[in-house]
Amino acid sequence: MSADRLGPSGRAESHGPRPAGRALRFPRPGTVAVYLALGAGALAMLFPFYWMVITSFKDLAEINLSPPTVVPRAWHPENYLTAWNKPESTFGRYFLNSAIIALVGTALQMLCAILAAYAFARMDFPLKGPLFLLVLATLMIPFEVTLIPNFVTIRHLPLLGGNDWSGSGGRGLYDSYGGIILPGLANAFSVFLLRQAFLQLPRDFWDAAQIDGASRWMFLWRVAVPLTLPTVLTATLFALLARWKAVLWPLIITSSEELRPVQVAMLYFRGEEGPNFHLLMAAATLVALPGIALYLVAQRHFTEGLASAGVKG
Amino acid sequence: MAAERFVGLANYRRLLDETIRVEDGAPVLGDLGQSFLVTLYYVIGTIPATLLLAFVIANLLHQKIRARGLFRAAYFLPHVTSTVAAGMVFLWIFNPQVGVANWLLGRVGLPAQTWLQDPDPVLKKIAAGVGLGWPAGLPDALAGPSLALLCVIIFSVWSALGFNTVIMLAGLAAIPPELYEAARLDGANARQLMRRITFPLLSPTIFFLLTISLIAAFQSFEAVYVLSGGGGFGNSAGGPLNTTMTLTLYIFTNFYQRPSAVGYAAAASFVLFFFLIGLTALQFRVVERRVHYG
Repeated sequence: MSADRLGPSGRAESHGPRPAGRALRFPRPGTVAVYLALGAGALAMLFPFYWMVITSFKDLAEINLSPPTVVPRAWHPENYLTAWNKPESTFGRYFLNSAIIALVGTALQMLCAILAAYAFARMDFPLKGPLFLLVLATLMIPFEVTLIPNFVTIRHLPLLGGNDWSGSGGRGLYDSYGGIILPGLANAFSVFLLRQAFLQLPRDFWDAAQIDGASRWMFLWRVAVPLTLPTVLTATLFALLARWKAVLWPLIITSSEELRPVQVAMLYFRGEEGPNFHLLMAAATLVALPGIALYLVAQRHFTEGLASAGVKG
Repeated sequence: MAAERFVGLANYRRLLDETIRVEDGAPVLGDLGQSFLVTLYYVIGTIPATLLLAFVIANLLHQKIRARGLFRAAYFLPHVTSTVAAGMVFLWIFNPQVGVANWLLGRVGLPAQTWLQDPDPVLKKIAAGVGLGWPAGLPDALAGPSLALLCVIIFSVWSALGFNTVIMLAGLAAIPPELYEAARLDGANARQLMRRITFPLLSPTIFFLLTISLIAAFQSFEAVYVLSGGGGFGNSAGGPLNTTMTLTLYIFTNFYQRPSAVGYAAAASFVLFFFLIGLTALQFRVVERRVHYG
C-alpha cells in the first residue's frame, strides 16, 4: 500500500508534478488494475440505481420485453405523475408525514442527546459512571426486543388518548405522530457521539465562561455546541436518515392511512400495483431521492463523522 | 389485543416445543428452530463476505488515486437509500419472468430461476446442477440457505458494504505512515506489510464492525420483510416455505398476525435478548484476545 504518499488525514495530498523517483516506485500496471477493480465494483454497486431509474421511464409493454432494453425506446416521464397520484390519498400526504416525523423527531432527539451528553461529559453527579454504562448498554439491545414493550407502553400511557390514570381505557399514543416519534428520542448513539466531542473541549473554556458570568445553559448553547458543530451535524444527519428510513416501528404503531410515512406507504403501494414495475420504480426513485440528496449535500459530515465514531468507538 | 391472562411459564414451554421436538423418534425442527437456522445462514452469508469485500475495497481506495470521493460515494450510496425503495429494485431485478438477473443467466447459458420464490437449498441445487445428487446421509439443515434467502443475503451485502468500507478506510487512515516507511526500509515486501502492520493495526476496527454487524444481522427485519413479499398487512412475509423467516420476522409475525400470540412473541424476544448478550460476551472473550490495541 502506498500509505507513505498519504497525508495525516489519510487523503492524497498534492496533485502537483511528482518527483521522478516516486513515479518509478509505483508502476503503472498496478494502478490500472486498481482502477479496473474499483470501477467494476462501483458499477455493480450502482447498477440497481441505474436499473431503477431506467425502468421508471419505460411503459408497461417495454418493461416486459426480453431481452430488456438498456435505454428506454420512448421516455415516459408521466410515470412519475401516475405513481404520485395513484394511492388514494396520494404520496404527497405520505411525504409530508415522513417529513414531520423525521424533522420533529430529529430535533427532539438532538435536544435530549445534547443535554444528556453535556451532563455526562462535563458535570458531576452521583452514579454518573454506572448511568453512562446503562446508556451504552442500550446499544446492545436489539430493536426487536424492545418492540413489544414499547408498543404496550405507548398504548397504555396514562391520561393520554382516552386512557385513565392507570393507563387503560383508551389507546394512549397508539396511531399518532407522538407514538411514532417518542420511543426513539433517547438514542444512545447520539449521546455517545456528542459526549466524545464535548470531552475534547478544553476545560479552560468553561473556566473563562464562568468568570464572564455565563451559566451552564449559556455555555452549552453559545460555546460548547458551536465548537463541536461538525459532530452535532453528523449526529443530526444520522438521526434524520434513520427516521426517514424507518419502517417497522411506524408500521406497528399506526393503523390509519393519514399517518402513514412514505416507507410504509411504499409497502402498500407494492401490494396494490403488483406487476406495474415501471410505476413501482418511479415511486421507489421518489422515495430514495431525499436520502440520497441529503448524503450528496453533506457527504463530508456523513463519512468523516462515521469514521471518527468508528475509530474511537 | 385479546384479553390478557397470567399463564405462568406456558409461553416459555411453547418456545422449547417450537425449537425442536421429537416426532416418531426423529428430531424435527419447529418454527422457531427453523428461524434460528435461517438467521444463522443469514449471519454466515452476510458478515464474512461484507467484511472481506470492505477490507479489499478500503485498501484499494486507500491509495493515491483520482476520483477517490466519487468511488467512495458509489459504494456508500446504498447505505443512504431507503430499504423499502432499494428492496423494490431487487424484487424487480430478481423478477422470475422478466427480471434482468434471469436474462444474465440466460446469456451465460444457465437455466432461469425463480429467485425469491425458490425454497430449495442452494447447495442441493448446485449438487443437482453438476449432476451429483445430495448425499443421502447428510441432513437437509446443511444444504445451505434457500435461493430466496441467498437473494436477501446479496441485497444485504450490497447495502452494508459502503458503511463497512468507510469505517475501514478511517481505520487505515489512522495507521501512522511512518510504520510502512520504516518497514519498507527494512526490506519488508507488500505481503509482510499487510500481515505485520495493516492487519494487526486494523484489528480493533474489524472487531468493532464484527460486533455491530452481528447485532444488526440478528435484528435484520426490513430487507427480509420487503424481499419476501411483506406489503401492508395482507401479505405475509418469510416465505417461500418459511425459508426467509428470520428471528425478528418470526417475532413480528407472531406479534402481529396471531392476536393470541403476543405473550409468546414477548417471551421469544426475551430469550433472544439473553442469547445476544451471551453471544456478545462470548465474542468479547474469544475474539477480542486477538485484537491488537496499538
